[in-house]
Amino acid sequence: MGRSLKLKLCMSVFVVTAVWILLWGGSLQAPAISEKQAVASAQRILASGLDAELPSNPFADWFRQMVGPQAGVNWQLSECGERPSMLVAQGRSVPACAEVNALLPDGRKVVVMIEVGTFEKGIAGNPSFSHAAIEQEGELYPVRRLRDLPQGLSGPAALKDRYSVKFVALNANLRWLSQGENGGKALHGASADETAPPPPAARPTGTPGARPTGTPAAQSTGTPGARPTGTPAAQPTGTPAAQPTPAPQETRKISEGVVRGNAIVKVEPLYPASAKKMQAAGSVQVQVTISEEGRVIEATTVSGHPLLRNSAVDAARKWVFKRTMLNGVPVRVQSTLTFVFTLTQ
Amino acid sequence: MRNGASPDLRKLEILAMLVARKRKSKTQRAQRALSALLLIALFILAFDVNAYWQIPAAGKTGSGQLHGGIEINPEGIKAAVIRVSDPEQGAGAEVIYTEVFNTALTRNQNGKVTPEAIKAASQAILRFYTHMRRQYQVPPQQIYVISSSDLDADNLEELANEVRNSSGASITFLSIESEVRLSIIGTIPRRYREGTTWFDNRSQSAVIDIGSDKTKAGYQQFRQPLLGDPYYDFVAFEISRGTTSFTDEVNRAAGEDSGISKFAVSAKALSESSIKAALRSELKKKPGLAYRKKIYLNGAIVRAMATLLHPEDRQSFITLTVDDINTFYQRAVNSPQLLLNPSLSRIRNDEARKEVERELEAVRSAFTPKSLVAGAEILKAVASECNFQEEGKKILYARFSNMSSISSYLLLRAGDGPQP
Repeated sequence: MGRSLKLKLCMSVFVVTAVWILLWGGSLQAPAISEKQAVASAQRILASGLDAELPSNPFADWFRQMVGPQAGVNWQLSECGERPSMLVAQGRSVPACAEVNALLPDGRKVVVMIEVGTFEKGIAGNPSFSHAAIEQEGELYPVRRLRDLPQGLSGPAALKDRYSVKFVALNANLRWLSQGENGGKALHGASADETAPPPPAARPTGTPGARPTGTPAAQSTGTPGARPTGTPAAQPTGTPAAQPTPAPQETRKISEGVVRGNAIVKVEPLYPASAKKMQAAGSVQVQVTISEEGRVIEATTVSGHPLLRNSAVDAARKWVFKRTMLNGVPVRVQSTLTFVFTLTQ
Repeated sequence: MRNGASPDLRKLEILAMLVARKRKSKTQRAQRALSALLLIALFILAFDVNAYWQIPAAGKTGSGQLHGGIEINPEGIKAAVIRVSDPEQGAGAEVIYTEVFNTALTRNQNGKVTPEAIKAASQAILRFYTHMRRQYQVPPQQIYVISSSDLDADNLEELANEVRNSSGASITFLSIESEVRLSIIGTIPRRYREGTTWFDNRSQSAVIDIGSDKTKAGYQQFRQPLLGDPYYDFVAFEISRGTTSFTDEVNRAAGEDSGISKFAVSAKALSESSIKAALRSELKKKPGLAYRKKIYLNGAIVRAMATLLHPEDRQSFITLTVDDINTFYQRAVNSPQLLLNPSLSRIRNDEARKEVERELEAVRSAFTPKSLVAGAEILKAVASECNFQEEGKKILYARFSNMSSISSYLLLRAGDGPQP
């Protein structure tokens, strides 16, 4: 092999290595998605591109028209869909959404999520509608299709057929006194911009007393699985007389994943000293019955080391959950909580 | 309580006076003294019994229902009482009493809280518990004791037993997720206003709490699972470095006797390999945090920075900048004494000045020059990894944030009605 051939070979190896490093290095350093571009792409896309039944206006214009000029509108890059940690654990990319939320003068809130790509790979393909909801008086009303949004916003009656999800304590705002009573630590009132009272939650249209409390209309038809599509003509009037009474104390089983997702207060069990001494470890399964209000009313162990069981039950009793709603009515549910006790050095 | 007891006291005083007028002899005087003593003893007994057992309106004073809470942290015990005017809605809550008792509950080398620390903590809890019962007549079933997820030791059961034995209260040990949720509810206002327009605040905000042992963060995220209903997820985020634990780590690397310059160099190197790396790993799983527009910074090191750099700012929410963080770091490394003794010449109001002096004293007693550098290094790492320098980002320190978890826990309990 001549010298020049060797040189050429070395050069080739060097070039190939350099190119490979460049490519590999590039793939290592994941391109962070640009918020500006992501939001701009969602704002620019035609509303008809997100839902064929909507007009051919840019989505941002359509949305502004929908919520009105008095609404406070925010755009930002946000996470879509399921919890990202689950996706990352499965080696999948975290989907990114351009989120637009609007606070209406009557106190309602609208959130629309437009999927634009992933946090790792950046913007990919055309933006598409992901999900949306209307928040009203502490309840979330899902909007399954973008075309349903105008109707949902037109008044409470339009939301009556929706499943609603009540969330606890989120509406609470603490008011701090400028001086604690009896010598408590001095606390200062928040600035006007931060804590001034929220706008009045007026009931938008003239349907007094017809606040959407769940799905009385849907239930009265006796077909809980069938969700009406939101056409007012297809709905009963929703008068108080039409509201059915919830089924008496029926307990439904739900998976641990769902029940953990609904937890408001999670309490980890104490590792009993006696169990540690005995090197007792492993998981303890506790079957819990959760009341309509989200409280654990019964907790019993299904499996696990005897020395760990009491501690697991004590912890399970302290968990607090969001109400589980079925057809808009809170129901009692049963599920399992698994606590893992691991001995550390 | 005092109003209820004073007519009885007056009656007793009149009775004592009549007795005094009728009996003038020495024996009579002795008897009078004895009677007075007896009456006082009876009065004290009556007062105590009243405070403990007679709950006139089940913890209701004024127009609201009272709930008391005690929070155990590695740095100490916090107490708060709130008055809730409408428990059904969880609305109209006022914080009417707060107090903090500083006592270290950190683990020793065996991973345990010392018996002395457990004793001190349970005594503080008993004192707060008694104060809530006597002073505010909070019903015992409405006094809650919670423990921060930061409190991490192998013998927490001993602490729980000691507290149960002394005050009868049981401790609820919070998970990181619950704690972050409480912190968000207690720190981030729901809305804000620009001109006449109101905007939703929580959807674009996040809380970052730089504690003594850990740094926690969280934000509220609207989610719609593939199957099921939409919900607000509270995303929790944690790295196992806080101001104290990072100070210890740097001390181990640089040597306990190292000067501040060597300490700072080690802190910088370790920040890269431990803090920033941990932050990046968490941000990969929870990328939404880096895009939040408003960051509410909590924690003792943030309180120290706000107090030392902006002592004159007495607002509830103090706006901070990346420049503040850099200035804080530079001063902590180069002139810690100057940093710890800021000029108060701009504070004209005597009351405000006294309050600031108290706050400065608290900072001086809580931080050493080295722990200030370590804390500032964490702040720098958080600022760079969470894009604080990005245009439009707002960094805020909420003055009352140290009480946000316990207060919102009480609010949650109050809003949910009576406990089963």
